[in-house]
Amino acid sequence: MPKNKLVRTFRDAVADIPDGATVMIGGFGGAGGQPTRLMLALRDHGVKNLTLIGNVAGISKLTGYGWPKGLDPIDQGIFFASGQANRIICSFPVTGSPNLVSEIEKAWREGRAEVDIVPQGTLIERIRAAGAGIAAFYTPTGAGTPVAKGREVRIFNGREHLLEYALPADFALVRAKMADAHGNLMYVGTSRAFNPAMATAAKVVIAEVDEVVPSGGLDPERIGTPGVYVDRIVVRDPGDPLP
Amino acid sequence: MPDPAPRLTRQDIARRVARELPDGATVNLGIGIPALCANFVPHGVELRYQAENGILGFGEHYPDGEGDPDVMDAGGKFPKRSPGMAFFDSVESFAMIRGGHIDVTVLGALQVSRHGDLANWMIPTRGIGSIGGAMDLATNTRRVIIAMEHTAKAPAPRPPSSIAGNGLGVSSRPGSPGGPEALTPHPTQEKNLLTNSEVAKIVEECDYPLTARRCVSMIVTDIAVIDVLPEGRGLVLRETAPGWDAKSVQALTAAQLQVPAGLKTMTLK
Repeated sequence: MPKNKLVRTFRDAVADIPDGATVMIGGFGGAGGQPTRLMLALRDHGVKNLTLIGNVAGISKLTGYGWPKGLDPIDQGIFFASGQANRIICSFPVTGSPNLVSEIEKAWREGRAEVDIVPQGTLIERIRAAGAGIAAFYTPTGAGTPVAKGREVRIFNGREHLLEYALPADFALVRAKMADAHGNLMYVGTSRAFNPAMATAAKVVIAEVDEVVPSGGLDPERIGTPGVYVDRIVVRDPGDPLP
Repeated sequence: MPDPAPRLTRQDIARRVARELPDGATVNLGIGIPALCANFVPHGVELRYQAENGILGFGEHYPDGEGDPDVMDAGGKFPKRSPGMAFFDSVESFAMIRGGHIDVTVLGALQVSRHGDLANWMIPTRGIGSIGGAMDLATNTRRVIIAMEHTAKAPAPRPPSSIAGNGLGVSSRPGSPGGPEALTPHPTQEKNLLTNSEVAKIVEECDYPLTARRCVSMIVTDIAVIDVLPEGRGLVLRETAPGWDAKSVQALTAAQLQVPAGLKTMTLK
């Protein structure tokens, strides 16, 4: 665990992510809570055969989902447009309309990508489990649906439950508002979403923040992710136009 | 059979659903018609809206495209910060949902069966879909109300092999040959076809991939209000849109409707 977690550039922060890595991308979908600078740096870094883990994935560019007007939305589709990712595990990879075809759906149709669609509550709990030392758990969600295919089914309290396994990753890219030198992170609003759980579930956790403050500069009552989970912190330039 | 009267607008469907939301309830509204319900909540009824991205107690939104991306709802819109609001992460949000702490959810549907099975996440011919929070909400919320148009447009005949992936998108591997589901016209297109242009969405058995079994309590459409009886005991027609009767609603429904003596006409002030 490095004592100095601050990394100077986004490029440096992702430089050791290798071909074939599994990478979690935080947020919910939309601009808030998405580690957009880290994503762009990872794309420019040029690695291949990535497996991504996200939630709402790849629909903002087409629909503007979660982005303020007047900006060109960036989403996980960039890794499929560039051919760097060939698999994504997520809950919401396609738009409501078959005529609005995202980069992820296009890659899937062309046989370039595998798409694992997981119910959102199961996805986040699998990530939580991975970070919390829980190997697997039972959930009623998905029983009797195509999600149950190949799953162990057990009945608790008269209801069918599916056995779901923990979902860890090699790297997690997360987004917070502020960090301190210890790696403690503070989130704002709905930009928590998948970030705090992902920050516990990867071997290397890289946080993109607006600001780093000295030790003591964050209210300990308001820490969303304790620093023990965080390996690297990169700060955005002041006045970065990306939300 | 021609329509006996105009079908209701999306707003009127939402207006009718809104009356089903009890004062003080915690409610999660899906995207589309369900989200419109918030505009029609009767005076004096106060609701707590939950969105699965991690917000409870929102109300008014900024105009489309404006607002703070750090305060979003699950539809990707930006609510205003308001007193009494709570933010939380996705672990907490789905503990709330899976744990049964949401009173009512209003969702859209592709198909609902006479047992209250719901299919709303994938059109089989597309081969890939989006589940989002729908399975957790439908499986674990106390009351699930479906707000939708009563029928769907009949899909145009599709050229074979226009989709490369396999038939079910839950784990859609590249390079695998399309399953038979992907390449042949879906049986629904014939079985539930009402006319050349319309397909029933309320059916005996869903043949679209399910979201959850036996989860729906009530269906509100542009021509009817239908209760789903528990334990698979079928569908009861409670109300019809003005100018519609039980026969004309049944003609657009591919499951048997029970018609009680007290059948009412929907009132939409």
